[in-house]
Amino acid sequence: MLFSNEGIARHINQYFEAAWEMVRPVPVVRIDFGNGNIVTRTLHGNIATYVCTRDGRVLDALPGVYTPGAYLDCLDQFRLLAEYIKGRGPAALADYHQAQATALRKNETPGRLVLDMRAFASKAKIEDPIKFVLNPAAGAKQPGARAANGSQPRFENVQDLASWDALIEDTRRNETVHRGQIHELLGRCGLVTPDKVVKPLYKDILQADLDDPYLGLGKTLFGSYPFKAEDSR
Amino acid sequence: MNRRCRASLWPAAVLITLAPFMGRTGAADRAPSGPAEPVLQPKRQIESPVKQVIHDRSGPAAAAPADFVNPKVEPGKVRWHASFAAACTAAQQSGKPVLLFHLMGKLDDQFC
Repeated sequence: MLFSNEGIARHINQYFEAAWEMVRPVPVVRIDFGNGNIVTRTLHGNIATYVCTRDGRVLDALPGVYTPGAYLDCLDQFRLLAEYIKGRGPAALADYHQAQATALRKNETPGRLVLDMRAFASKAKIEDPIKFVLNPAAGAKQPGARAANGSQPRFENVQDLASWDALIEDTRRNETVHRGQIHELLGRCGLVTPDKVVKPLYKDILQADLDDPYLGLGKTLFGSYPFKAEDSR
Repeated sequence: MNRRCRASLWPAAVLITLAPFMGRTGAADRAPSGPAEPVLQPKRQIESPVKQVIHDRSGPAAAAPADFVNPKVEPGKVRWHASFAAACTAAQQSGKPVLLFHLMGKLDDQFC
């Protein structure tokens, strides 16, 4: 789990005040094979990570799962974003989201927040040490490349390797398609509390309508079920 | 009184007529010797002692199959505040931004 990762936990504890919330109970599937073997899995469990101002308004959000390296990089960007916006206000945040959404829509590398290292080298105070760099240089990490960032875990079997590859693909999709959608959503909403964006984020971006009792799986579950009429009697 | 009413009263009339002869034995029908037959007891008085015996000698009812219990686990190594509001309060003091994690289920449940 991400929060068992030492580097991620240390970064969060150092730079954020953290909390978690349940958006709805998780669907659990239990298959009893009748011979004492029971398999338990969660179904359709999706996550979102928000960075918020000190008074609880959303600055940015990450949709879904990430590789540890990519997640850590995004958290650091969140830290810098909070500082960047602090001195600039809502208009700067709107510009940030618009620029990011535009870049991702055009399949370009989104802008990055960078810390002016002269802030540490010189005794003179540097105004605005954090810069938002559009079209960062070729050396900057592409969202897709960030997915595989960081140390790769050791795999004991082929299934673990397949899971890791799936996680990299999820990260890539989250950092490109879904992040673009989030920037557009947050650009429209402005500085709001998380409860104002949680439902559209889950429904339109994570494909999990929190108001649907079957989380969009009703057709899959019941569409071709041969005993539906019999069970409904 | 018309014929229909008289017809409907006929069974009642028969019962009333025969009532003195139902459920009672006259002196002429008693056994010539021996004790009098016991008076029939109310149903409650018969059944209550039986119920008590069954209750006292029965084991506990078989437990219904337990609902799924999601085991509790540590929610990683992050220092989580108890709520988003608490995190915001702490952020006002520390100057740090707030990180809010949303999920289905609970982060301290094994299956989440």
